[in-house]
Amino acid sequence: MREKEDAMGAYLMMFAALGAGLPLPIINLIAAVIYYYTNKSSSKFVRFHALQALISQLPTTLMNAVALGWGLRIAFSDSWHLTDTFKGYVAMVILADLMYFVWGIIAAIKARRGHFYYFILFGKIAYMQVFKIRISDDATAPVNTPPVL
Amino acid sequence: MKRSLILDALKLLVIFGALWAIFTFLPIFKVDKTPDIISLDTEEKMGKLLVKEVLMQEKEIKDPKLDTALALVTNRLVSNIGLTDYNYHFRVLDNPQINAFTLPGGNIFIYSGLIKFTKSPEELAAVLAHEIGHAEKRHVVNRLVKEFSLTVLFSVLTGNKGTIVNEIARTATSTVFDRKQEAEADDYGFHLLEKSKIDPIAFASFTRRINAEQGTNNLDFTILRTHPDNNSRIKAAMEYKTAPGFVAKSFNMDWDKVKASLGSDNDKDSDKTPETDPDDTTSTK
Repeated sequence: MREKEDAMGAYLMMFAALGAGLPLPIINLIAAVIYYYTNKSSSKFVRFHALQALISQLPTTLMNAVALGWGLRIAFSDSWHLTDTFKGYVAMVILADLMYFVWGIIAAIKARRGHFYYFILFGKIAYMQVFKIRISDDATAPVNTPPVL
Repeated sequence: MKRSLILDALKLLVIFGALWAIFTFLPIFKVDKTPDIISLDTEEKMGKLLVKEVLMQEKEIKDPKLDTALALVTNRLVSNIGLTDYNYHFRVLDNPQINAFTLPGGNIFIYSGLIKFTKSPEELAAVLAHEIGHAEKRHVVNRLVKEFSLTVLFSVLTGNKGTIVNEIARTATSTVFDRKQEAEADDYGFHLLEKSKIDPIAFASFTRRINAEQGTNNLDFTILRTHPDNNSRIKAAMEYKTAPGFVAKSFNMDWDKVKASLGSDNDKDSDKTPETDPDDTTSTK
């Protein structure tokens, strides 16, 4: 039971830190890093969810940071102006954050039930990292076939 | 496995790249949503109404010498605009404020105080090119729509005037544009000056002198309230690159005589302006 709660906590911790750290988009990332390292000796199930929570927020953190930096430049620099491109970017970032929030909740619920839940791309990376699966090209990997009888 | 990861990363890039593009070009996210809300015909009617209102409150200066000089400057600018929706009208008002403003429909007003403050016709042309930029980019009408809403503006045009026309005229004459609009008008003005064979450096010399003389005499620098952030605008004018082979064409007129036709306080104000300005030699080359 404790294990499931720890796995779920990886996602919930991230949201709590996100709320507390706004408008600085880096706080949630720091919280996720701390959470991952404090649970490094836990089971692979917990480590998987902690690592997935950590690496999956790298792109959104980066996008939020760019939006914040861009917005500040517009507000305080004479040569930067509010453009349609910026508005489009902010809208895209907001949508990405919302999508990430929804998937994070789903992942937290799945973790609470003791299930794995794989995000696109990040789920695979976290799984490979935690279960020490080496990346190899299927075409070049040695194929062990049974003897022909 | 490696291919699968690359494919996933590409999928994410494509999805979010497409979302960015969609949100950028989707009309609801457009920064300037108002340019086509008011037709040119409506803008012209609104302009006539506001011009009438302004002329009821301010005295227009009509002087043959001034009109000829102004026509020389404005004709050169207007003939280089290219395709335009407006039939430009330039009027000089008897007002000591150093300012100029644009009303809807291509109506540009220049205060006599501004003409007296300029050191050359090129400096006046630089200010007017900037105002033409506001008109061409439809900044004024957009501003009015934002300030008063379409309903109020249309009610004025359909006869329900009351005191609101006065309020609209007051806003139109003292409006402060945002930095993006000022930069757009400046940029348009620099290009127009170049096409008109006037060195855009005249804009820098005029603006720099305004900055330098602010607070040093009793002149009314209203232009500072309506055109803030002068330093970056001076820098933009200084850094504007004219095309190779650009040669400025001087107006060849006695600008002091033109200014003298504006009235008695001209001499007093002229005394307050510096005798020499190193930039002026470049602005009139």
